[in-house]
Amino acid sequence: VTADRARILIVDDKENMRALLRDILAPRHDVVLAADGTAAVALLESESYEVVLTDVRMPSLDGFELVRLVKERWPLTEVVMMTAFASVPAAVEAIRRGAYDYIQKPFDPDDVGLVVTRALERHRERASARIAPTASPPASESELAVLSYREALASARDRGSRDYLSALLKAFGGNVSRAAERAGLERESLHRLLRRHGIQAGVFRDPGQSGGD
Amino acid sequence: MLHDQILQIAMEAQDDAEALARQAEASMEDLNRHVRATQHGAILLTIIAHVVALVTAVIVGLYLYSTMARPIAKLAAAAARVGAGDLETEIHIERDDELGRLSRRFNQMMTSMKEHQKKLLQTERLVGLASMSAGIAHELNNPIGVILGYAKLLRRREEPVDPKMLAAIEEEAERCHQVIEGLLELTRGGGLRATPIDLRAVVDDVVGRLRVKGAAPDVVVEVHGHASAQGDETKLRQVVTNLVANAFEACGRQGAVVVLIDEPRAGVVTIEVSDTGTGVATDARDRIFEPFFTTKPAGSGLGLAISRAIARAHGGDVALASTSARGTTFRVTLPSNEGGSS
Repeated sequence: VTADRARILIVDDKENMRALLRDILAPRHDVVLAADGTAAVALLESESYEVVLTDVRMPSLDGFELVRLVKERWPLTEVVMMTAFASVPAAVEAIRRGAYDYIQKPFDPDDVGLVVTRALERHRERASARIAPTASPPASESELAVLSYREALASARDRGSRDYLSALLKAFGGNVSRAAERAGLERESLHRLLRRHGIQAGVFRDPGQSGGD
Repeated sequence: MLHDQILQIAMEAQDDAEALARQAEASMEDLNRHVRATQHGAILLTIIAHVVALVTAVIVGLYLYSTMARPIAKLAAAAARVGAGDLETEIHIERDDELGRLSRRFNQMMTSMKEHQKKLLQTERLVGLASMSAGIAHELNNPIGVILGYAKLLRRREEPVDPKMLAAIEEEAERCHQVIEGLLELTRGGGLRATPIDLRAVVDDVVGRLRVKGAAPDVVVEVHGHASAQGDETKLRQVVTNLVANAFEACGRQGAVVVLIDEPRAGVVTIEVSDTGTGVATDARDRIFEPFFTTKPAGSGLGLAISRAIARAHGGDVALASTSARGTTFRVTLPSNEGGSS
């Protein structure tokens, strides 16, 4: 069971940041780079992408404009926004416009892999079910405003990540290598993520089952 | 004899008549005297009445002045002082009536106004600090993100080290360093070593250096005029470098950069740096001098903020003189050398 290589579009005006994201994701996915929103739209018009990973602050067309355009014209494409400075209004605005998630720089390469994997999962679910795009925020605006942005989003993402990783491990009977392969993550990266989220793969190994194939 | 008798009678009658007349005259005179005396008394009385009235008026006026007009004038003067911005104003009217209460109210109002003012200043300072922190976070988190990302990637992967990754780490660390230097520059006060400076020589040198670095080889550069300014050469060179480099970038691949050094006028020299770029967007015009505001992908957003801070430390300024779809002009003003210290 090998995960299909997904087409990922990375949009960032900082050259080294684009290169880093490509180096993180290229081993598992087909990565295309764009230096700003306008270039990204041109690329989206010529080919389809499953996930767009975009910076917020960019000249000409910025990340907020881009997520609005993508959701309007390519509703099945998931957008993950990246920012070097997170603020509550910006996060609320991104999610309101339909972004799947909002991650903060500096980030751990494993987390980038995981957020892309989860965004892809959602893309595939929606593509197969043809669910109409709904911009349903993971937490209400008031909830986001009460807690600090970081706490709110980090706890929401942690919960989401834990649920996802548990479901993934369960589906593969605790076999980390096969789970990693299916999710498009490196085996070591998945191991680190499991450790970080306090999930033990052994729990999902069912002696009653025949190895979980 | 009868005649004599008659004459006698007549004479007596005449005497009587005269006496009567004299008497009448005397009584008329008496009457007149009386009338005059009465008149005199009336005038005196009138005068006395006027004097008394005047004295009373003065006394009442003085009383009113000290009890009403003076406190009201004090209030008016205090209100004027507050109007002029002096929030330390206080009124001292130690009385138990309405005016006393009014003055105490006034003082209470001033106390709460001072508190509000203090809070407002604090809020403004916090807002300034917040936007500054956001800028610093943005400018540093990007390069730190690249450094950390590559460091983790390199440590975890068993592949041989890619020199390109190391180069990226190096570049981004250098970038962090530049941001911090820029911030220090922005907040560093004083320390100007003012000497006479040949502005033409500085501009020519800056243009030459940027050319050597390979900036916009197809952009035409013109420098006109000569002037001498009073200032710190290293810092003024930085201002000129920022503006000329910006002009090169604004031109893109082709265009023209014109630097105009104007003769000193009223102790002020002017340098205008113009480009043939596409101009500054309307919504960016008010913000280009804000620290960390940038419209360029590689810009830190500190160049113009630093340039302005340096020019102002010299007693001059940097301003956006004009901008349109056909180009932009920035104007630097500095104290001239000829005019002495301004």
